[in-house]
Amino acid sequence: MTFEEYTVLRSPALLRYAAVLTGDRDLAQDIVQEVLARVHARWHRIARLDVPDAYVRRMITNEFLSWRRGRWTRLVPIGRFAEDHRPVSVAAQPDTATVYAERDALLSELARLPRRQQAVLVLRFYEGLSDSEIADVLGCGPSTVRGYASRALATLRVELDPVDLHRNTPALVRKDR
Amino acid sequence: MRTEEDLRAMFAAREELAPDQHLVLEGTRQVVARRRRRRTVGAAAAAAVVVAAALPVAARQWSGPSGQGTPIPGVGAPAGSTASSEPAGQVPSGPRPPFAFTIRPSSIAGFEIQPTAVNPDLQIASVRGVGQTQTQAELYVYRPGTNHRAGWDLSRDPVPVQVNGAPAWYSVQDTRSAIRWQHTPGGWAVINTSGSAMPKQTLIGLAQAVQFTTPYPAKVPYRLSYLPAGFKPFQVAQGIPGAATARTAVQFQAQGGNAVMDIAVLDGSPSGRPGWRADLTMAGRPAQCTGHVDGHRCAVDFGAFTVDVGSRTVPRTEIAEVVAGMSFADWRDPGTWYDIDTAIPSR
Repeated sequence: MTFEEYTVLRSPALLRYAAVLTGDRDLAQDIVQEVLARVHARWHRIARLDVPDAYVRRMITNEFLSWRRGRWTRLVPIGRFAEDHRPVSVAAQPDTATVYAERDALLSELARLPRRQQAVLVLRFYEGLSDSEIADVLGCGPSTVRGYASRALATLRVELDPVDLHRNTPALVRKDR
Repeated sequence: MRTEEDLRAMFAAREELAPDQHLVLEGTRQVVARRRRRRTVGAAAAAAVVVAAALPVAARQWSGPSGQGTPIPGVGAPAGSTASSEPAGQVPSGPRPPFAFTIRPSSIAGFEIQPTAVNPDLQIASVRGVGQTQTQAELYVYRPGTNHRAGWDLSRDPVPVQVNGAPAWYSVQDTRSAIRWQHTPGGWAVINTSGSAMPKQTLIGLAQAVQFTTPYPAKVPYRLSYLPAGFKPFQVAQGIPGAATARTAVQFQAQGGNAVMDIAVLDGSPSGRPGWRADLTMAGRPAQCTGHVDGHRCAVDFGAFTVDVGSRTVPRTEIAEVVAGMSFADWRDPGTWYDIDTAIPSR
């Protein structure tokens, strides 16, 4: 497979992963561009790997972990300016408003977590990796991954089944309610 | 308590943020080409050999199918430049202070170019029709050698043109158009339209008429006597009197960018705005603090203008201290505003 074929085939999934990981479209674009440029430079080696995706995903994760907040890329004030201090327009739809408010709160708390904890949650609950696979991506031990996950979930006040909290295999099956 | 399902739903919702694949692949091509060029140029400089003619070939080595890749200009001396001082399109030599502009405010063929924001790597100016309040395009001038996103071209096949004899590319897509050119070797400038596309000749004319001058500092309508520990400015947006969005904002960061804060001044009182409910006072003025996804923001009503401070980490009590320590110039008269160097303490 050539580099061009690989990027055409796999970049949508990589972009989705980067978007979920960063929560920022521009940052996801910057990171994937940067990573793909580096992949291109060493493609002859990466192409020989059994699972190039895992390697590239690791590069994206590491890029996210080490990304220095751009000083200039965009002017993004905290929240919005005062002129946008308006009542939530969806107040007439309490269910939707509640859902979005809760999701906003969760997003906000997630963004405040250390980046490695954020990455563990994305790799576990979005990518469905096991602790040992996550450890491989992050370059640490599975017990460290479990530590990150426990702290992150406690901070976010997310309740899991005990078996989920220390699982070693992906658990992507939705829980019965 | 939240559940695993809540987490999954949030991540699934974030998928919508995935960037456009074609845009990213085009950007990657440009990054690859630029790095290849940089390596080639470095080798050439070491050997004191001019290789400008060979660069486009190197740049196209990974550019997709023939004709699909973005042409990359050579980095030879810009054609047509002379030794005269500050000719149109030439940036004065010497370092630019981090929060100073070199773009000269000017009126060109029915358009006004007004610098609006600056940071150590980039200057931004608005392009408006004379007498109009809405911005029709934005001019970006990057510091030479700045590493940044390459997604300037709006289409996969930008049209090669020339700006003051230097290579440039014009692209258009739907209602937007853009031109990018090298204002100095290694330094790029871009004009992006907003609202409606401009014809190629109009953008070329605008680009050619952009003038530079000796650095002059950005100005803000206030002075601070108190700034939370560790915070330093990293970007200054200078309000445009009479523009639709007359606001001035300084963004600060601390802890290597992990803590951020911005202080903005906006035209008019917030009292008439929807949702305004002053439930506290800051600096003896009516104020309102609101929680947001990424922090909190406090708006303070000063009558003719509003001071707006946002931060994720700075507590409201400290924001109140910042506002109490502000002294103001005449908001309506930018001539009285303070140079950024004197407006911010302990830099």
